[in-house]
Amino acid sequence: MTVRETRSGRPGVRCEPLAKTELRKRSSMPGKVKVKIIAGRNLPVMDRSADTTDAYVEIKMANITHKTDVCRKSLNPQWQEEWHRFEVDDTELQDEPLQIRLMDYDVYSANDAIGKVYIDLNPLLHNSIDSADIIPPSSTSSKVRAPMLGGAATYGGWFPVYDTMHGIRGEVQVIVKIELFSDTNKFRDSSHGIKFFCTAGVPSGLHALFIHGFVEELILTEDPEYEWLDKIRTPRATNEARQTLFFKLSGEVKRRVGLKALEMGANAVIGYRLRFDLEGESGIVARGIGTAVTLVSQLDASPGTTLDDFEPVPVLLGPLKGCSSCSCLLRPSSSALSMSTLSLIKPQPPHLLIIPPTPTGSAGVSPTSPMNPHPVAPGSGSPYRRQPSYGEAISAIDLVSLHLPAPQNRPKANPRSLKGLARSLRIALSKRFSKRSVTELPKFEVAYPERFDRRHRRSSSDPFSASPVPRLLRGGLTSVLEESSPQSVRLRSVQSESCLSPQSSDTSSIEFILLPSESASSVDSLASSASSASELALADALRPTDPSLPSLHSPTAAARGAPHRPSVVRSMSSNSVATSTPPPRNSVTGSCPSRLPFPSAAPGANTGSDSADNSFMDDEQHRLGQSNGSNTLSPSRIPNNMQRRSSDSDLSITPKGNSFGSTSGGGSGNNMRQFHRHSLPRPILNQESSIDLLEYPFLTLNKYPCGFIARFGGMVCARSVKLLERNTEEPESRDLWWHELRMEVRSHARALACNVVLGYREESTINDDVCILSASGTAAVVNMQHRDGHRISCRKFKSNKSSKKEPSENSNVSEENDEGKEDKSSKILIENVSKSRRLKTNITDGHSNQIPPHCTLCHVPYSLVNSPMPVNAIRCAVCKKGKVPDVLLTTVEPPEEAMITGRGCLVQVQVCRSKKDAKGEHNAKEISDSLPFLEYDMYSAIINKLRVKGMNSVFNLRVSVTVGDRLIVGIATGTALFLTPMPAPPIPKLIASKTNNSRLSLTEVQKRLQDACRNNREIYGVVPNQEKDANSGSESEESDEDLPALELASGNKDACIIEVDDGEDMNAVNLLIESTVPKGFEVVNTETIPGLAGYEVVSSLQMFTQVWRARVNPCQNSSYSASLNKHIRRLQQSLYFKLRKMVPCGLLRLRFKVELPDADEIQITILGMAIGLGKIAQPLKGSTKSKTSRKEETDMIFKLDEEVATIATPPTSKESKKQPFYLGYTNLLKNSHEPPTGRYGVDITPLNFVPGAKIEEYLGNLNFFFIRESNSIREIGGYCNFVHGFINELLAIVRAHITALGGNAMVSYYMNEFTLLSAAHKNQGQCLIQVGGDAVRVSYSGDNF
Amino acid sequence: MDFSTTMEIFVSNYTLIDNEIYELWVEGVSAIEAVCQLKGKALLQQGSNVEMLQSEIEDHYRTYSLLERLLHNPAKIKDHQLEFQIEPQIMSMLIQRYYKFDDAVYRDILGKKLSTRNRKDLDDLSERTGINILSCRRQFDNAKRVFKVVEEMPGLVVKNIIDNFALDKELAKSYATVVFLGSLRFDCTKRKLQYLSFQDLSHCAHAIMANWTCKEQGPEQDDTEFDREFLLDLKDLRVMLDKDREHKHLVCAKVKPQMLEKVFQDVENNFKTYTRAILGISCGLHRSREMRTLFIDMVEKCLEPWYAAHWSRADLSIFLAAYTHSALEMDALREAELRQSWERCMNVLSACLTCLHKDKKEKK
Repeated sequence: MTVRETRSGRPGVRCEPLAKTELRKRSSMPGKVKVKIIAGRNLPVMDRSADTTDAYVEIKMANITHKTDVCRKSLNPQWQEEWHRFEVDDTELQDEPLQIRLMDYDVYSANDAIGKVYIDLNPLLHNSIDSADIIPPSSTSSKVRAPMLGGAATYGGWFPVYDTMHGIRGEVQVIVKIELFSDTNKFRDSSHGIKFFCTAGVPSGLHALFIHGFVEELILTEDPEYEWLDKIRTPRATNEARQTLFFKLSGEVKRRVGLKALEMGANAVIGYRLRFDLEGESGIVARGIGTAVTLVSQLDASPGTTLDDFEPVPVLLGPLKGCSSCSCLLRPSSSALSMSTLSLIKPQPPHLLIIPPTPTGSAGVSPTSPMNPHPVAPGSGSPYRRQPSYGEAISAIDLVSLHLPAPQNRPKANPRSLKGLARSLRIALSKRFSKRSVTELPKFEVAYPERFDRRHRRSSSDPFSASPVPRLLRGGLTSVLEESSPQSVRLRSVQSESCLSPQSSDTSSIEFILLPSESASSVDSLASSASSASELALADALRPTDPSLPSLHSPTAAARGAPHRPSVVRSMSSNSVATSTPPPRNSVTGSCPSRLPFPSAAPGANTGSDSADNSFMDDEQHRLGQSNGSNTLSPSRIPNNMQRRSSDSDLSITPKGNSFGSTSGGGSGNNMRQFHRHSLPRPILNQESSIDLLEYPFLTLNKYPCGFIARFGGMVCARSVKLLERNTEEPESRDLWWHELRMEVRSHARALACNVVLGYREESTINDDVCILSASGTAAVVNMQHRDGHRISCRKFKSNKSSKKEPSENSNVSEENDEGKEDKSSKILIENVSKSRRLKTNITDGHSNQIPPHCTLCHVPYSLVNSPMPVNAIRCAVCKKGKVPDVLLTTVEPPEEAMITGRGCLVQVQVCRSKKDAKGEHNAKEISDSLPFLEYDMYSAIINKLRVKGMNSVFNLRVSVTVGDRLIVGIATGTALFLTPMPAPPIPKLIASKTNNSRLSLTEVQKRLQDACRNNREIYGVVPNQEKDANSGSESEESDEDLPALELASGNKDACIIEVDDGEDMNAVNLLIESTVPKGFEVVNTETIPGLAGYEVVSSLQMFTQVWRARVNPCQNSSYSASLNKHIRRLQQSLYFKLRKMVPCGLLRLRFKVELPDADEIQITILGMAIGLGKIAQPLKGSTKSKTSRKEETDMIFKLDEEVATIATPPTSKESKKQPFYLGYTNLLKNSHEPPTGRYGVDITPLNFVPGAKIEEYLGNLNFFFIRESNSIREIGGYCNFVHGFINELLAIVRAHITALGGNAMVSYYMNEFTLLSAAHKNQGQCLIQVGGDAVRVSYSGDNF
Repeated sequence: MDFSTTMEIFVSNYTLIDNEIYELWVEGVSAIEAVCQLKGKALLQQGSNVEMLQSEIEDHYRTYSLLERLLHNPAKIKDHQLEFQIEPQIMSMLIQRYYKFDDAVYRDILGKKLSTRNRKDLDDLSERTGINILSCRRQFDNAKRVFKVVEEMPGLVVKNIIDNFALDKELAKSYATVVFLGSLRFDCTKRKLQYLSFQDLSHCAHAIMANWTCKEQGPEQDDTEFDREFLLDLKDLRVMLDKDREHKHLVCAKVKPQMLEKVFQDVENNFKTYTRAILGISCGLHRSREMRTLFIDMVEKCLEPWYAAHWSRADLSIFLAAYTHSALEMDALREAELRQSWERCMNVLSACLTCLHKDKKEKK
């Protein structure tokens, strides 16, 4: 009783024991959080007898809790107290949400919780520091001051009080302020001042001065839901524990990502994506990826500033804490390197690329079509030509790459170290590889001796090497390496209890035996032998000759005495840059004294190390391999021959094979190196394109400034199937997994001769204990030095580099191929050089002040002849010179400068396969066996659909695969476009292989198909420019050097034949014919409606979420895909119906998400934005006002999209103008939307902009994860009401937070996680949703400012 | 493979409201019926089918049912609810519609205790009137809710209702009637009163509230409380009983030119009966039982004789006006207070009587 009394008395401060963090804190930058609780309203009745509530508030920050007085008997309490002050650590500020809990005071019983408010303080951290304080340490010398990127000064207003069992229960009025002291300490753990944007483009009103590169972070933690405590505590307590955890994770991931960005010298992270993988008993994985950039406000970006003022930050980052480059330095062997040298070093990828002896020939037009030889592929030039490779659909690469650990010499073979090697090799041949005909398999040859040495040295000399062993043992794995001879090694690993068979999904379980055979390469023994088959390795070997690096080489060489030293160094450096993750939880770090000064570095290396390649990878690998149970080596012995490998196509191979990965940074480094060889006296750091130094040359943005993208290579993607191990997981394993995938993606990009991957994203789907990870993006060549009004430059990237790349690769290729090829390749080399020259000019042209729509974007960046997959390349219809692919798939928004004919439209395919209900390994095998077929089906369908639509490219393509107990569903959504430079697709023809009774229906279907084609072409204004093609043919004669290639390519370009053998094929054909979109609707999944003419986007109407869930009734006669397709179509139709009153309207950013929550359940979530289209006004008085406002927007880097829509079309639409798309139904359109002059409430949109409004300020990035549970589903009206209400409440909470930050809109809204667990018989339901976006303040033209 | 849909929802940032569907929902029409009703119109759209319409209607119904919780507390949500993003004027419309009622239903519950038992009786009412039972229940609950909030609240009932429920003045007045007649338990259910509509009684109730309750500004102000002092004062009007002759003369003089001979004769002959009835009612008003039976008393004691004598409403108002004014000319009402009481009393009675009086045709 007495205790209760104190509770109700004056607010007391309860201090919980200091957290460990307090103690380990090296430098704390205390911040003061001030919280004022003002009032509450509409609280629920907690005291039934009196119909009232005695409310008080608990305010919790980190471990400190304050309380307010009890406000008796009121549903609308007024507290009006003094400020509550919390003094917290800087990291806590970022990691911990402020928790405000409303309680009902009870005299006799325990106090009841009313609900909670979580406030993420991150948005406040930007404004509270003077901008001078947030200059990243690395750039202090530069004159750039970090710009004020805006942000909220206070966070205050009414917040809905949310309870996981009851939903919103009233509101509380709170004001939060933060006082921060500046932190000059470089070794801090916090990353205040780094601003986060979900927006996958440069935020409007800001300039991207530098693009520093990809940043990622991953945290694995226990899930409170699965703690034993859950058995004894209430659902509410568990849910809240989870929610709190999600908030903390989101803060922590953000902080760490920010830290990495800081180290790179960035001041913001854009395209930031936060994901949670709920892995069940093995925990929760929080992943954040983004693109680190230096943003300045437009005013600051004066033309006067030159790039040279800025240091290429990432390169210099070595000394910084947490940067793994430090780790390189620390290694005894590499200690000779100074930071500066490091900066000079191009990462060298010590990896092998093995190219099948029979290179498929012509350059891949569509990266998505790796290889022909698929069984499915009908003979000549069938549409199926484009087959997804096994395992990874789109990899354009036929190459399997092996990473050899960077050479480090020590002549003793250490069996243990071999494990590392095994890992490196485990990479393996990808599944697709294996599936390919055996003959294609390259011989796999590796020279060991060196490797061993290195290993050994490692273990002996390196403190680290010791540590791995125990870990290994702990992990329960032992791998025995049998060494038959120095030359031929047999690797056998014995696996621990976990006993993953080679077939298990675990990638690491794959091993091969490496037989060192003839070392083909002449260069140096080690590298050469390893790389005999590889192109890149060769490149490495050549590296030393690079004039720019002499200094480097010498020291290293001296130290090592090995000729290939440089490569090692390089690889290390690259790796270091890439892997600089400072996960504190890594125990290894602490254990190695040498790294102590930079504790974070070691873990970083660790995380990144899964890639087998790097020089220090070996030991890391041991550690890693052993540390995570999942990565255990499988006991299976490996036959010497790769072919065997290939023959047993198991899941594990798939991912690994591609994961090539070990070429950390190396891959890019390679290219770079090559460039430099050609490029002359390499000036200085800043000349260097640092993007190549990055381990992951990925950008998570979808939208790029005009002129940024030089060429599209095509979509690249990688998937892997992993088996989750219970209780033995460590975050490193997840890091490894992702690292492998990223490496693979990078290697694909490289194979396409591209230097970056744009629109990069990572997804995962989990079924029971099997997890599919996917990474995808668009390989492209970018101009790092492009103009856009002012000079915006990402790290410089010389345009010629990209062009130079081709030759370099060619040379590699040629060398690695067998002799027969050599002549040819050398020819190509020449050819390419000339071509690249041409390219260069093109690009420089592109640099002129205005970038006119140009065609080079579409030109293939790689050499056709040596392309890893067959590709139909045709002369560009615009310039008649470049080669363009016949189909282009990308994951980014259509660039403004792209030349478009007609309009874009949504294209989507769904593929559904049944699967056995298996457990564990078998499940994993089942899945990975199925995946390739699924992907194949998807891609062939999408290509065919594209043809039916008369389009030749897809933008913003998202391919997602979901696995359930009995089904695997793949869904690919994109926006189809006709790119003018590319050829018009042929109209598909049906052919029945046998004359069967379906003859009649065939012709009928054929007719329908053709009608559909014609119809689509008309609707979307796609006019194939046939005459032009003809012309180009003649002109092309003059452009000599491409001649041979042309012949190769031009074979069967017009043919598109779909073979129909049975009903199933017929079904597939029927699926190609889509019902048309109702008039007045424009449906795309991009941010703009490409090619929209006559209308413009004027206002935002409605953001919507549609959820559909159904029970799956197996039924024999119809195919899975067909019925899924039918239902999705129906869903779309129903969407149109619901929005019918809004026409003319555009549905943008449509996102489809499929989930298979139960064996017999399927759930589809559609998120999109309806925007109002207005007729483009004639220059009348009325419209002048809005016109001017739009003019202003033109100055922004990213023009608001109506600009884009209008500007982009005129040049291209000359021909297409003939068909005013809307003419047909202008009568139907009663009205057109007007630009809004203001808007009630808070606009939430998945777009990067608010139509009809101008973004004044970005206020902060918000992420929410909420759980709602109910034990009375029936009473509240079933699951529909439950979910509907929950989504509604979430939106309300999001709006309240936006308002509290002073905003009136949210852009880039997303809903990632949407999980509904139902137990109808128990009348229970639980729903988890993750949402977020960027809070902004916008002004409408009608607002008075 | 086939799918049987178990859930299909559509949630938007700005809450979508469809007037037609909302109307149907408020009327208690089930979603399926609503589909039938709207089918014809909506299906003119190309490419749509009943399923889509149904899904749309269900979306709206769900939204409204989520909204309903807020609608129970409209004033609070009108300006600052966060859960739904609805423009204030639309929100206001939603509230008005939700609190809209059918006269038949409210006529039925007038004067009744809004108890659960009575709620059950709504089935009968629904059957009788053809109004959807759900709608009846909603109306009943609305009335009950308003009643509960406002009953004990000091101040003017109409204003209280407007403040707490954000209703239009007209609507608020109707609810005030329900509250007033309900809280004072006026008997409106007698068979003889059945011919009276809700509006009739509402008119009377407001007349009573305007004249007989504590309307003066001040802490005491509450127009659901009778001005007891005034009611007690009415006992003094008894003096008028003795002065009926004088009164009759004055009245007859005034009335004669305006009335038909036949009716005039009736006045002359039966004036004493009439004045007795009126004064009897007035003098007994301080007893709450008599107050409760005010309407039935008026009908039985006053109106029925007049009906019998075939008075028209015009006759009645002429008579009442004369009756009221004549009294003021008499010495018996010289006292200012008494005069005032008389006026207050007669204002209401005249208003009520004229209102309650239905010509044959009207009475049907």
